[in-house]
Amino acid sequence: MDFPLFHLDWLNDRFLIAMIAIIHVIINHGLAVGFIPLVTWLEQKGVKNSPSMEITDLSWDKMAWKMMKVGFIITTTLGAMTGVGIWFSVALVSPASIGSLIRVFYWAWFVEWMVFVTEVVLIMIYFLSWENANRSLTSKLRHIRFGWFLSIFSWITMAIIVSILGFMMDPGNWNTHHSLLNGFTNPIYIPQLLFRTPTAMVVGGVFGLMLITLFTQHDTTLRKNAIRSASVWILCWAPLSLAGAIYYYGVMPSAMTANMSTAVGTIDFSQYYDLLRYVMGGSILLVVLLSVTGLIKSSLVKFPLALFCCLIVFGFLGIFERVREFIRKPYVIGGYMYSNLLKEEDYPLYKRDGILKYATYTSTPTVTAENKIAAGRNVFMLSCSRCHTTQGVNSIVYVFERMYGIGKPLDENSMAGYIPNMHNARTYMPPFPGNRDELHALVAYIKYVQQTGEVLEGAQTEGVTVNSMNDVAAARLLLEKQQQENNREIAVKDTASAN
Amino acid sequence: MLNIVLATTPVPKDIPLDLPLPEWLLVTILVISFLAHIVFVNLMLGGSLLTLWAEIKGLKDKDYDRFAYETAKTITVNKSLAVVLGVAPLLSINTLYSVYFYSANALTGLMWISVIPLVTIAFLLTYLHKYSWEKLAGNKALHIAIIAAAVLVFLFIPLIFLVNINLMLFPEKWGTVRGFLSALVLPNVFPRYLHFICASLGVTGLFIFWYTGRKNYPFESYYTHLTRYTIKRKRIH
Repeated sequence: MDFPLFHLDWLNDRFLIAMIAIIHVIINHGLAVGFIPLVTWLEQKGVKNSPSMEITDLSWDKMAWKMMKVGFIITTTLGAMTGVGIWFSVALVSPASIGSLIRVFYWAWFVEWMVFVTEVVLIMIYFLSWENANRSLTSKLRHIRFGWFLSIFSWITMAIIVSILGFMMDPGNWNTHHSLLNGFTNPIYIPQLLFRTPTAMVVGGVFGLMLITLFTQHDTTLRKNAIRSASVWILCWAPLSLAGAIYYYGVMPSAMTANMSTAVGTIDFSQYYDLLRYVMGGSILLVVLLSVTGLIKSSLVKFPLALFCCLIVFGFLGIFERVREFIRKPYVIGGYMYSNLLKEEDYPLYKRDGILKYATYTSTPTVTAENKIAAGRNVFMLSCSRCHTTQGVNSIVYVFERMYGIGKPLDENSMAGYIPNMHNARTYMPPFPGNRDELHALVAYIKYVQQTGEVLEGAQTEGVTVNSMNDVAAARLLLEKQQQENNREIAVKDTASAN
Repeated sequence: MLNIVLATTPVPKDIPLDLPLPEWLLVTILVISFLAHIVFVNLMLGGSLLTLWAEIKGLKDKDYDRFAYETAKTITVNKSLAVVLGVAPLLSINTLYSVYFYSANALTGLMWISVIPLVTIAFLLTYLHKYSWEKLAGNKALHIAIIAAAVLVFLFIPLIFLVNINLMLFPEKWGTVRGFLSALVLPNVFPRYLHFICASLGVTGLFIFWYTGRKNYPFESYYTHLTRYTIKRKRIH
């Protein structure tokens, strides 16, 4: 309501965030939290199995170093930048919600940042001092200890972020007491952490296995032993990951679980719901099969197969995050702000006076017969555009055509009858915020979009029009009016007391 | 005239929640953390420019090639610190100036979000440049092109940040701005940009002065005829 609205009509705004966030989660879980302890463990194994007179098994150590180099480069480029990218994209797409969250979670994010700085410094020291550390056994052992420190810090970063995620998903808490502590004590914090920790280890293991097939020669003992080690690693964590997944699903508040099937996808919900279970079970089964093969007959584990498994577990992580993120709908902050960024407590006002009147930016403060389409466009931008596009992913025309028939001309009356009740039929939808005139303008606009194929442009290209009822001139008039009224009241009081 | 300005100046409502800290404290955190961030950004940009210059000069004089390599090794470390140290001021500006910052973000949105892929690419290029030094020793043109591409990106990124930060300060322009380019031509952007570029070169000079002047820096084993004094002096001029 108070921000110019950025809008990507082809991609869908939510998708922009999802894309960046999912890449970040994959790198954080797969290449930091789960991968660094694996590499440290491998480095330690190299020292344990070193030939006499050597500090470590040099070819083994070289392999672990190469693996770490890949992890180092990816985490400090794509990993770091997608982390910042989450901030950038969320602030663009969802300014009101992130602005609210940051005023409550500033300290959590600040602490998280300090841990993150430590993590980056440690990762640089760990990787850049690797070759020097091979000079003496003392320095090598110190280097390995460093690796374990780094592993712990990566895990702490994740543990704090999970608290923030957990809080945002637990509806109701925001309105009663919003403090950081709440994030750690809410009922899905521990389950989420218990699920994410072993899952990250599994993903890190599969990624490591993939790198091993890349950096070792076929039919060597080095490759055989390395694949076996990674397989043992995965097999240790996979059952814990499965147990964590089941536990996590079980303690999700019932409202959320009920909402889950609608939240998973946008086309055929029950199909998506089944798909999630297949993907979860399937990917865990797949990595177990992979590592059992690695243990029994490591020569069968080749790069294409390892890469395939790696992509599958990345995909699994992506789908899990998608479910987690969509599960909290229709809210973006449970019980406080809907996913269209409008606060629940403001709804009565919007329903009575219309949403346009209170918007900071709109070219049409009120709906008239002449501006109906333009007003409808503004209503759409303010109350639908965070999740729907006009011509792209999850387009509003497509959503209605799916109900009324693909390609059929949309009927304004049916849509106007449906929209005020849609949140009852589809519980993941926020209620329509505007008044009757705005509803009719909106459906006229949707029909117009269907007929013309018009594309909705965001503030980044079209700019914004300041609402003439909410600019500085209007505010000044309002102030003067209030002043006059005050003066009049004082005058009335004066005469009353004089009499 | 005044009426036109007033009519295009919005009066947005702030987010109805208290600041997490007293305002003066948040401002202090913002300023201090931003200083820490920008020093490493200076070193990242200045270091890449210096590497590019020295590597070109190094085509004729091997010592400069060595100097380019020594500087290149600092870029990747400085860039990592630049990014992580940027998060604290980002958090603080989000909190303190939510309405201003988010409005400017949205109005320059496409370019703003392009910062992410552009910087990622530039970072990958700096690693590629650093780790291919020996492999591409026979193909200097390509190797120099890699760092040149990274330098171009690094030179463009500050412009995006400055356009955004500058637009924040002019709410009366929010109603008239149409995208990045129209915000680019607002007053102040280019003077601030030039100041930043010059500052980057200056700060990098100071850094190299310290870096190569350290007592335990094995200077003599790296260079044949360049002395600590020539490198230090070159950085001063």
